This record gives sequence, structure tokens and C-alpha cells, in this order.
Amino acid sequence: MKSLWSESEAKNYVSRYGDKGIAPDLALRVYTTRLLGGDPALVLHGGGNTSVKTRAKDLLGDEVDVICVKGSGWDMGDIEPPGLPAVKLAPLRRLLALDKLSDEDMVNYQRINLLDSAAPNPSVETLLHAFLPHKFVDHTHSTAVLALTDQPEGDAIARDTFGARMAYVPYTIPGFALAKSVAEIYAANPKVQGLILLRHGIFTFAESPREAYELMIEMVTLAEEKLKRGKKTLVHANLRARLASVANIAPVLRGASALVNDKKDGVAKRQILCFRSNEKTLSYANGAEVARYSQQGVAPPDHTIRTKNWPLVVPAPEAD
Amino acid sequence: MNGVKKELDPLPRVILVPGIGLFGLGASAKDAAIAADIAENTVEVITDAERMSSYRPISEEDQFDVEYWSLEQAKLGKAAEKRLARQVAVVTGGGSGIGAATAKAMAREGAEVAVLDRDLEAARAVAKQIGGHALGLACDVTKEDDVRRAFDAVCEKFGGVDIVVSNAGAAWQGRIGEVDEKTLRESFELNFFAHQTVAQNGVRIMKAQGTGGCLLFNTSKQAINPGKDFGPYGLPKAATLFLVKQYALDHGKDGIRSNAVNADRIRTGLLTNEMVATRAKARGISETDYMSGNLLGREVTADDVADAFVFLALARKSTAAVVTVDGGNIEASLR
Repeated sequence: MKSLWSESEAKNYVSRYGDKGIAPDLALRVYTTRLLGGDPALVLHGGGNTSVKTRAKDLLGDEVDVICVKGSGWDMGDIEPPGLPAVKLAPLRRLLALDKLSDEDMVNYQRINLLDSAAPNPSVETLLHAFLPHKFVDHTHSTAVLALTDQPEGDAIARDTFGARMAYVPYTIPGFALAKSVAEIYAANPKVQGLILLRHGIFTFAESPREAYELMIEMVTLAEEKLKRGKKTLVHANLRARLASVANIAPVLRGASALVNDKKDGVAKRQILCFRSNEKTLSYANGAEVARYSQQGVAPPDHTIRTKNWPLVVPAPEAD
Repeated sequence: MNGVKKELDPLPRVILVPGIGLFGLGASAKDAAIAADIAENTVEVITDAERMSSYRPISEEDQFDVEYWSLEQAKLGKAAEKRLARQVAVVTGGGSGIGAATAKAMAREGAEVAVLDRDLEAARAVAKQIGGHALGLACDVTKEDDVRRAFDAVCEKFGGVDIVVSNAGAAWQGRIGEVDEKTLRESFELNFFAHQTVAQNGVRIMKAQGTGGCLLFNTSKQAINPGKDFGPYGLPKAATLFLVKQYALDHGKDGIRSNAVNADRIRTGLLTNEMVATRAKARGISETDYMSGNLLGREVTADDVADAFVFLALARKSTAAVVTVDGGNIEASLR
């Protein structure tokens, strides 16, 4: 994976957003967030998040330490400054002293410490960002990192790939417990440049936006290179010689995946379909073991809200 | 994870079809595309993991906790769905006039829309105005192959069809005792047989889906109340009005409804300003009186007709019905 950082583009962001009253820290945070968000091999549709720790003035003109962190409902690929709401940093960090915290209390506490009460909810991973000392923190669901860690020996493979430059965090659902666990792991390994969240994703952090971003690219590249050593090939099943057309099977599948409510006059809860096919997809779908490997679950856990955990696998349809 | 969980719908969001590819599914074309994007991404992760050893993500229990986590569910939003959400509407003659207004009205109500027109540029322009995933397709409804190709393209894009607005039409004039056979047959091709071709394609797809559907036809007051020298237009339209009833009768058991809108005097590409002048003269009245010469005294617009099509698409217990949108004309009123 190549770094897309451009010094002139970075300056462009600083001056363009500067004209709108946005400080350089936040302008650059927007810039590299978009760089990361523009690559589907890093994040997709609302996945991932970034933050910058900076200072902001409140209504009385007092400067306060804040963390500008990705807000709910924004995509990294086209984020704007309002998509990175500022939360007071000191109160967030005091939460580290707690032993536990419910999701509801965490969300509420984050909201009451926003500088703008109308801002979107700060990411559910806000505390994780806040507990780390670095100015720029980047988090993605890199496809390559997931492919490495989503294996039976994923932990060992990751350690072998990234070594002591990264710390390794066992899977925990995002929220206070994960943030606290990360804070403890980081405290024990203060020299690391990032974190591998096993079966979830990757964090990199640094004092400058470029460094944090380029660390992400570097680590993902290491993962990609490791993956290239995988030599097994998918064994393909023997399919029927004459297959039905997409136009003929789509309505059958659409009908089968609608929910007919007999209590409500048989009204159908339908879905819209979006067809995709390419060499990779076909190789995967045609695999003799597709029924096994497709039923293990989604890769970044948050994808489950979009795709559910298991796809439906149907037999290859024969032409009439 | 505390609190009581409400069961989410069990419908699949991704379907893998060996030999064919994959489908993403969702409440809208946008959501379906997101599911497909993610599915393609998952294909990469799993393929790469399988090439090294085997794929093993977090446990089923951990996945469940994420799927049913209130903070994740909150990301999907809770806005009420629009009335025609999750449905696919095909509108023939959608490039202008009543068809364009109807395509836009269906989209406003949340349907995914395919705009079919003989004029591809016009179809695309309307689809572009609608925005989102709306589709503009070339289709001469008098050609069976064109119709089949267009419906195939709609199935490839959205997965099927739920609402068909068979709207394309054109007016031919001529005194019935003198009109040449070619004119009459041409009008029958477009104003009757094309409706049959379009409806048959709709029924074919609706039956494959097994979730019912709605056929909507643009008939004309000529089907009820013939105008002088307008036989070539009124005769096939009268046959189409009967077609509406036949579909309702033969396919009610398939959950397919068949209804018509009976509109009159709408300024469109069909009833041009020039024709308004001719028709007004035939009746010996002024153009203004001709256009608003109805019981309500108001000119009827394409948007008024579009509203009637939307109403019929929503009227779950109405079939073989005709909604008249003409500002009121007692001679053309039904029964």
C-alpha cells in the first residue's frame, strides 16, 4: 500500500480550512482521515475512526484541552470538521480510574463534555483514543490486517509480522472495557507505534498527522507482504455447464429473501438487490468449501449490522 | 450485554451464487450496495486467510453481542420508511409528461425507479433528476425484445419489479369510416399490444418473486367517452381498459393488482399545445375552456395524474379499479 501524503495538498487543507476559521490541527486531521477513508482496503462505510488532541477556546475565551474524534454518522472518506466533534479531554481521562462503565453512561458522559451540544455522538472508541497520549491517532479495519489475525494462529502470525513495534490486544467489544485494556497494554509497552486489535483492526499513532498516517500504510504493507506468502489455492467445485442468467435468478432470490407477514394481509417486507461479480468473487463463490469458509462470520465485527453474520449460499442455478 | 433484546429480521443481506457472483441486499438500492461492498471486502479477507491457513474471526457469541449492541444498532438510524420503500417501480414512457411526473412521484415515496423511454436521453435525464440509483433505459414498448431487455436490466440492477406503470402512448386521429388500416393498426400496437407486452413481463417477474405486485395502466377518457374523429386512439384504449380487468381477474390469485388511471386533457408531449387548439376547435370552444372545461373548472396536470398512480400503488385492497383524473366530466364518469 502506497502513501498518498502530499505536502502541497496538506498545505492546501490548512489554508482552505483556515479561511473558514478551522485550526491547522483539525484541517490536517480532516486531510489524513480522508486519505485513509478513501481506500476500501482500510475502511468501508462508516468504519474506522481518527482523532487529534488539540486546544480549543470555550465561550468565555478560556483555552481547554480537547480531543476531536470522529462522530457517529460520518464516513471517513468525505469527513468535514463537524464530523470530528471536540470533547474535553481531562474529564475523559479521569474515567480511567473507574473499574467499569456502562455503554449508556459512557455515551452520556461523552455528550455532556462536548464543546458543541448539537454535535454528533463521538465514536464509541473515543475513550481508547483519549487514553493514548499521542496527538494523532488513526484506526482502520485494514483488510490485510484482518486476514492475518482472523486465522486460528492469528495472534502468533501478527506478532511475527509486526514484532515489538506494535502491541497486541485480544478481542473485546469496543467501549470502556476495551479502552481500559488498551491503556494498560500501552502502559506496559510505551514504545510501540501502534496496536493490533486482534480480529478487529489496527491503530497507529504519532505526534504528526503524516507520521501516524504513514505508519498505518507501513504496517498494512507489512501485513500485505506476509499474506503473499500464503500459497494454498481455493479448490473449485464442478459447476453446471449452462448457468441461468442474473436477470432470471434475481427475482427468485428476491422473493425468497422477502418476509411475508401473514398477520398483515400477506404484506411482504421486500429487499432491493445489488449484483456484483468479478474474478475474485467467482473464485470465492465457486470454492468447493464455500459452505464452510463463508459461514464463519464477518471480518470487522461492526460489518454484521450491514451484512449479518452469515451469507445465504445457494446452489449454482441451471439454465432452463 | 444487559436488557431485553428485540429480534432483528432474519432476512439475508448477502447471497452467494456459485458460477454467478454475489448479491448484496438491503431496504434500498443504497443499502444493498453497501452490503455488496462489504461482501466483496469479506471475500478478500477470507480468501487471503484461507490461502495461509484458514479463516477464523471472532466467536459467534461475540458476533451476536455486536449485532445486538445498542450502540451499533443506533448507527442504522430509526427513521420511518417511506410508503413505497423496498419496492421497484418501472415506468414506461417515463422520459416526459405523465410518465416523468409519475417516476418522480414514485421515487419521492421511496421506490427505486427505472425510467423507460424510446428516447434514451430523455429517460436518462429524468433518472438523473431523480438521482440516487434511478435507472434510465431505452425501450420501444412496441418491440418485444426491447421490453424484455429493459426488464432484464431492471432485474440486474434492483433484483426485480413490484410496480409497473404502463404509461407509454400516443394519439392518432381519423374519422373511423375513412381512416386507413395502417393508422389503426399502429395505434393498436402502441396503445394496446405494448401494454400487454409490458404487463406480461411484469407478471413474469412478479410470479418469480411470489410477493405480488401492482400493474398500473394509463388509459384515457377516450376508453369511456369517445371523442369525435378520435377512434384510432379511443378503440385500443378501450381494449386496454378491458386488459386491466383481465389482469385483475386472472392474476388476483398471484397477489397481483391491476388498476388504471383515466386521465384527460393533460398538457404533455401527447397533447401538445397545437393539438389543444385542434381539439378545442372540434368542440367549438376556446383553448382555455377546453383545458379547464371540467366540473371543478381547474386544469389538470401531469402531477395530479402521478398522485393517482401513487395512490393506486398504495391501495392494497383495490384491483380492477379505475381512478379518473379529469377535473370532473360527467359524460366520462364511470357507471
